Amino acid sequence: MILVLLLILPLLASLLLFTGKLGKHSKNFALVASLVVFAISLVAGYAFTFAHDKILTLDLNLKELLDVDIILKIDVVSLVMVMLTTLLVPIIIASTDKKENRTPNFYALIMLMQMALIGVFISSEMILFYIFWELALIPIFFITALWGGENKKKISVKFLIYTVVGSFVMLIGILYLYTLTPAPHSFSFESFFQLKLPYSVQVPVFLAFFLAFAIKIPLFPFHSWQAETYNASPVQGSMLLAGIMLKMGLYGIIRFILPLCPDVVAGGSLIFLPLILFGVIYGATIAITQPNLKKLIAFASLSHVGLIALGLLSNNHYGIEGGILQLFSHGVNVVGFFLCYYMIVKRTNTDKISDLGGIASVAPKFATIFLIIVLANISLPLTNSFVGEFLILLGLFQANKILAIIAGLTIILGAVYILKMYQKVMYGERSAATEKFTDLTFSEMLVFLPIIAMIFLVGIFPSFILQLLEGAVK
Amino acid sequence: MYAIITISIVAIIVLFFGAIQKKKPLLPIVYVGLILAFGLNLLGWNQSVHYYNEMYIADNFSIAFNGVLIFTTLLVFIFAPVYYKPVKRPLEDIYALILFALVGSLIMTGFGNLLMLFVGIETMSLSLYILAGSKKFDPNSNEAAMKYFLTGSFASGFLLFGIALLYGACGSMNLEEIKQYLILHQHATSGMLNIGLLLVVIGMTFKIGAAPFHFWAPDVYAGSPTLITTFMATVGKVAAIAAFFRLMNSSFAEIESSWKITLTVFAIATILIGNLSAFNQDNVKRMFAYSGIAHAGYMLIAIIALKQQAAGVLLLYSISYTIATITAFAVLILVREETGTFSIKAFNGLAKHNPIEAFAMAIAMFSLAGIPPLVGFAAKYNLFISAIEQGNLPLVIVAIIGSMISLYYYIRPVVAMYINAPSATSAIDSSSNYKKQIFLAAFLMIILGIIPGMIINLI
Repeated sequence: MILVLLLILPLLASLLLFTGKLGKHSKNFALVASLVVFAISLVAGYAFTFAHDKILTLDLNLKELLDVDIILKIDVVSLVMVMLTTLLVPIIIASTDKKENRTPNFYALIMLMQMALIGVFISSEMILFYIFWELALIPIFFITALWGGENKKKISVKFLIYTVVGSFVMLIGILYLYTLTPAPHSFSFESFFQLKLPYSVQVPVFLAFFLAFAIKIPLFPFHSWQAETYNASPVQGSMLLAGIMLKMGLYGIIRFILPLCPDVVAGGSLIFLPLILFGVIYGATIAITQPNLKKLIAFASLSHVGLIALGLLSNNHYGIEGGILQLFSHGVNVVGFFLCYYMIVKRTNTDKISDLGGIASVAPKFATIFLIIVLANISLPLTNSFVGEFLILLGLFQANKILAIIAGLTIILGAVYILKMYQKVMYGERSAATEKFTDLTFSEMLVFLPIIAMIFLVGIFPSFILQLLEGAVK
Repeated sequence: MYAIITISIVAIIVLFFGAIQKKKPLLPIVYVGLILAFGLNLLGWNQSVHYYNEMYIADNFSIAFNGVLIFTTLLVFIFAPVYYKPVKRPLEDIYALILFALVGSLIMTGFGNLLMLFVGIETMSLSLYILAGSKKFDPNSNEAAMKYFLTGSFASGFLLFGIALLYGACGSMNLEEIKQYLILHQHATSGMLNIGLLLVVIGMTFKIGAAPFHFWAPDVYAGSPTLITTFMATVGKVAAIAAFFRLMNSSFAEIESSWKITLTVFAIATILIGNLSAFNQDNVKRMFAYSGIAHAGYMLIAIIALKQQAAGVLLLYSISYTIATITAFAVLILVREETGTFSIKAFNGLAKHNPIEAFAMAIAMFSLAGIPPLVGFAAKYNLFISAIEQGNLPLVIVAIIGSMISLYYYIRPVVAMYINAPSATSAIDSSSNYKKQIFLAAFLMIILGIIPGMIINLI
């Protein structure tokens, strides 16, 4: 029941918003609705911890009517992802500034997106999963295409086609696996996981799924849509993309590639791990020279998610646990980072790093918050990413020492581009753009509050998530 | 059967009212007649009646497809007043011809004898030849009619010749008796039978507009009056594909190895040619002609993956294709009324002043491209499953590649409507009446996408 509510509520809210009847109250309505969904996900989490086998399932048996079995399931990984989604969406909605005058459709699309994302994370039937996977694309396409910046048309179409091509390849993989399931064929995850695929089958399946996920995450060399799309999207769109949607690809790796193609992951690590690692270093290096803040976040994010993928594919439980934890942390951090960006752009109308400076002297509250988020992004101890990235590197170290050493470089590179940026933006002489910079208002602080709380909570007490994960990973 | 009779009578009444120059009652008569026929058609559900020595069979397959065809025609007629607004005369000839074409297509879905198949196809085609040229003073329309007639009659010749050879080989034109003959002789089929079958297949391939016999389609679709193109692209195509399915399913399933490879090659060629040709069309009407070719290729997959369940899948695909195509054409007609061009630029900024039309068009485009959760996706993936269960993975891979290509050209109108700035032309002035119908079609595409199982398990 809870699982159905998680899907239905955002959908209903979205439909209601689409009618446009709510007018000026659209934002508040969407905010309340998303908070209710968050509350429901907390209830689901509560129910989950007391469920005896740590799994919540629901099978609606509607195959005759819907042609798709509605099987919903929450296990630890799903729970983490659902929590992340339901936590971030209210923040994203709340961050929208009143002056921007977004139409009700904007919030409707965000709610629709939330529904699709939750659907991806809790469905336990291949076609259902695929439907949500594709559905998630449509709202973000329109958000970018309608409210985006320069070149929005070209970029949003490129983004759409790029990702759909990936998912079509995955569809081939899904249909192929379907034929391998014992008769009567079934699309449920259960029947897929029970397949013991021989190595020769695992390779094409791996390629089909991995391409879709690599485009979505994105991993090098499929990343060319990412920086452009972040840059062209309105900031809420970038948050949805970087915070949650990219996690769909990583979630897919955990959900499908690890159980379906264990031999490829174990044996082929020297083929794709270096490639991903190259992307990680590449992203971090490019980020150093980026003149504008949003692109810097985009490339930093490219580097971070690549690291998560490395952890997940490192084929040992440290890496996987760290990867899952870091999924959550990165979502929180990157949204926080984009929020800071948004605060700056809102006040100065520019995001060129060279045009900014001296903000810390006029806005001490903002400076503190920004510093915390920035430090979390370079995984300082006591912040959330430290735990995740440490585990990832540990896992990687066990898989291959040389790769782990090179991967460790990203932390140094990360410190370089982040601290360089922070210094230029916050300290030094005030520029024309930052002359009238005002400090955060109370309501803006409120938006930051959950992010800061999560950074420290996970950073100081990672054990409560890690204990849950430990059982699941094994 | 009663539906066929009703529609024929309605067509004659329409002609009569035209003869006495009464314009007003024409469309209401057509609407009532079609709704009546729709109801009468459904009455025969689950009864499987044979008429006139198995000349015509009203089983669930034909009733379901007839329902789709009649409903589609009704939709076409609903948009007729918009399209023919500037024309003052009663137009009884055009309405009657559309109805006669519908009669032909209804016969095609339920034939029990190869002769009936031919009669049905000819009834439909002859009406369509005239309709294609019904814009008398437009050279394009004339060209379309001429091309369609010449190539179409050529194909009919093939078909008839094939039927004659099949008769010579099997000694009967009855589908059931051909099947019995083939069961007895399935390992020793004569050359005459194979050639006859090949000729029939070629004739049918022409009628559904699949490669390599698709060359007539773009010019005919683009040249014909848009309303007629709508009718051809939906009713004409669905009737032909249903007839093709029926023919292969009820008679030639026993010797499928002898035609399956040919059809697989046709399907692959059709999907690739259709999608690649549509890729860079700036003329939206022409783009739909090519996309129609591509969809004929997808529907061929249902015939190749011949199984009882494939009939339901084909039905779902037909429904998804017709609803989306009609919606798209309806919007296209409205846009063309206002801007006088079929160019993709005419769609610029449509979402600003006509949000409902733009929304419906966007849904139709996404549905045709096969994006979930719309009905187009449900139809496509069921089709792919039925093919893949027969081990036909390469065909499915080609089909999916085709879908990837198609996404690009389907997205272009959406981009034009939602992102491009409005051009100088004013908003479409569509009475709220059409808004409702267009919105209904979009709604159907979403709902059917959620409950496709209902339709697949219907027949």
